[in-house]
Amino acid sequence: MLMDKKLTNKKPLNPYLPAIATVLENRFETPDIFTLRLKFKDPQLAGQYHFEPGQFNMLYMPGVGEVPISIVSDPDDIHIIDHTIRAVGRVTRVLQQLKAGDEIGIRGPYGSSWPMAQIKQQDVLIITGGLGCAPVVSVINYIVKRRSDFGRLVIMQGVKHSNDLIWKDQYEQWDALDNTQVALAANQTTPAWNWSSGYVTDLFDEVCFNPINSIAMLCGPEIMMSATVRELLQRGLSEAQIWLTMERNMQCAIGHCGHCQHGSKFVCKDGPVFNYPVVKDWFFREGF
Amino acid sequence: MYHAIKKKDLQALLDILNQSHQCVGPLVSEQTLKYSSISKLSQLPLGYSDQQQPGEYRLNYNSQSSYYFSITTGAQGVKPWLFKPEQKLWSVNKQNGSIEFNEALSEQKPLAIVGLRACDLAALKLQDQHFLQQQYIDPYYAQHRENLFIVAVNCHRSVDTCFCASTGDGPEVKNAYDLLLTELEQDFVIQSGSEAGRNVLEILSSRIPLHIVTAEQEQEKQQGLDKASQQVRRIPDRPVAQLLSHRLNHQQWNRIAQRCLSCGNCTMVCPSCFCHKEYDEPALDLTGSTHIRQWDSCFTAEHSYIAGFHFRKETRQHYRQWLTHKFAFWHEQYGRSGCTGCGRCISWCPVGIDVTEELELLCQEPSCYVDG
Ligand SMILES: Cc1cc2nc3c(=O)[nH]c(=O)nc-3n(C[C@H](O)[C@H](O)[C@H](O)COP(=O)(O)OP(=O)(O)OC[C@H]3O[C@@H](n4cnc5c(N)ncnc54)[C@H](O)[C@@H]3O)c2cc1C
Ligand code: SF4
Ligand code: SF4
Ligand code: FES
Repeated sequence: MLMDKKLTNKKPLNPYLPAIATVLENRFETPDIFTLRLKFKDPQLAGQYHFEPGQFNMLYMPGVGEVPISIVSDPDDIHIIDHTIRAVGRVTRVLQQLKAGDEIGIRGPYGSSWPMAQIKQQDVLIITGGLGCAPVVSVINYIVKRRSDFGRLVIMQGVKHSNDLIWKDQYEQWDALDNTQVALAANQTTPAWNWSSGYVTDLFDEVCFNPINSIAMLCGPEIMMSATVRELLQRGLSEAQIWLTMERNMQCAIGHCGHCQHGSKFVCKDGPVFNYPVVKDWFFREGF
Repeated sequence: MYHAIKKKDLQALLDILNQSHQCVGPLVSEQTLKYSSISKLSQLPLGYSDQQQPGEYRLNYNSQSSYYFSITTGAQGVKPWLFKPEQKLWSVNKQNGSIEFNEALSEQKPLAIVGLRACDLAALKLQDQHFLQQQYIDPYYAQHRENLFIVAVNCHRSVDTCFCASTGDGPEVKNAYDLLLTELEQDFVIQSGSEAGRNVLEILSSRIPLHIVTAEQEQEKQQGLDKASQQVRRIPDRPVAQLLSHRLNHQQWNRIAQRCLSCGNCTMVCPSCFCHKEYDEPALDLTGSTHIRQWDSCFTAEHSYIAGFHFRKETRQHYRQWLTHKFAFWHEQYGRSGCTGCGRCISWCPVGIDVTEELELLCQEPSCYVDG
């Protein structure tokens, strides 16, 4: 029997097919972290493209494969799309070799975004762990650009070793901004480190925010986010005030391949940004 | 009002369908049933029937039998014809530093499937929901699905692994077909369920005699369905979805893991499983590459891999993902369970793990459930 007629008459765009992006610049941040600045080759596509902070693209390296990567540039900067990537494996190591003028495949944007529109005038806590947390950089820049729309901005970041911190100057610049506080912690430090030592959760006594009018955005390893959720709940935030971004294996990014399933959620389309209550049944639970 | 046709006249239907469609039907191949191209009635497995048990699948032959459709299910239903085990998605060409993408979609001759069962028809609807009715439409699935002509068949017998009666998906085909056959001793009862089906029936009536179904034939049809409804297996008559999602630490998961080989056969034969992976096949001269998708299973470690870490490494976690996805999370994703009771995962499990039995043990009261 014919499937639902409403689907048959228009030829839908093929959501599996990448568009072409041109590399404008490949900036090395550290020996294994780099920022790719991309532009759609087709000006019409460039004009149509719009994303929200927290969303990601699928980047395709011809002949090698496709990987999900968050967008770090500002949504209002049309015509350029920045991705900060850590070279960890097959695809990302080849992406690292790209030079200005090279062409790659791009599909997106995909997934949910940080709840920027719902949090006007609230304090925003951005809590990250691990190396340079790309999915929240766009949020920080977004808030900094629209500073009066939000309350206090508190940026907390934990790294393993103080040498791992990328964008050091950037953190110092943010710290100097009005109504903004940066708190950094490293497990292992060198004498030059003038921030704190310990875990990101050890920073809570150093920062101030109004728990009843705050929103927390978490990004990092799940063990770190899980410890942070516990700490935030103890400090008076409700579960609904907590948002986090997740990573799962992604083959398609369009809700078809099944790899990103987390309980009943598809991280690629229901996430990657989730309100904590939505995922708490399986969050950081073995096997999910 | 239904019609009946003589068994030999099914050939006329195959002829009509083959004019405009690629016609596939349930043929015997590799000692099971496989939907393959069919043009002649004589290709159908007259006299064959199947016998299925946990970990066991056997075909029997009876030279006295007048039945063409006595094999209930084979290892696969119609899924491989729509959601292909391997599908070329697109290719990329490199030339002087520029790249170019070409989608691998071409005009397809419409497909007609003959002999689809109620359980597989229900599973087809689940795949439609997944691939066509969410935010993104899958054009590769759609190209085969759009003009699919379905000749369904009611079951007149069931095997020991069937439990479609308890999932509510069979054995009677109730909708979503173009034509529906019910096989009787001497005839087929034939009825249409769509505009396209009525058109074909119309053409058919100009070539062969269509008889009005008699009361006896009606009764024989009902007897066959009643017989097929007598099933030894069933899913527990309990709120399985809620119970499972609250019993993630049940000891039974460990006991299953002692038997389960994590081979993934259950997911490969399941008509509703949709998981797949994508990979590249670069041309040898490096001028381009083909991007392919291939069926995948949540029983593989790579399914849950992210740089340096597998979320599901243990067999217990694989089996729990499969079972909770099918019977719990599917409800939230698609409004019903992901199982249509075809029983394939029971028969094709090399160690004979029986999903209905495991559900019974996991959902029974009182439980030894410990939450963590
Ligand atoms: C929503 C989302 C946003 C992300 N944003 C960024 C970002 O901004 N910057 C960044 O450096 N990394 C990001 N990642 C992680 C990045 O996708 C992986 O590091 C990358 O897929 C590794 O691919 P590889 O082939 O180099 O590694 P390999 O270890 O060789 O991996 C092989 C394959 O496994 C899969 N895979 C491995 N790791 C991951 C992973 N973490 N997530 C999903 N699939 C994975 C991919 O299909 C990959 O091709 C993000 C992941 C997700 C899910
Ligand atoms: S879970 Fe088993 S019985 Fe249910 S539809 Fe899949 S293969 Fe058939
Ligand atoms: S997650 Fe497992 S059970 Fe669910 S569709 Fe994929 S392979 Fe099937
Ligand atoms: S990445 Fe394929 S379903 Fe989410």
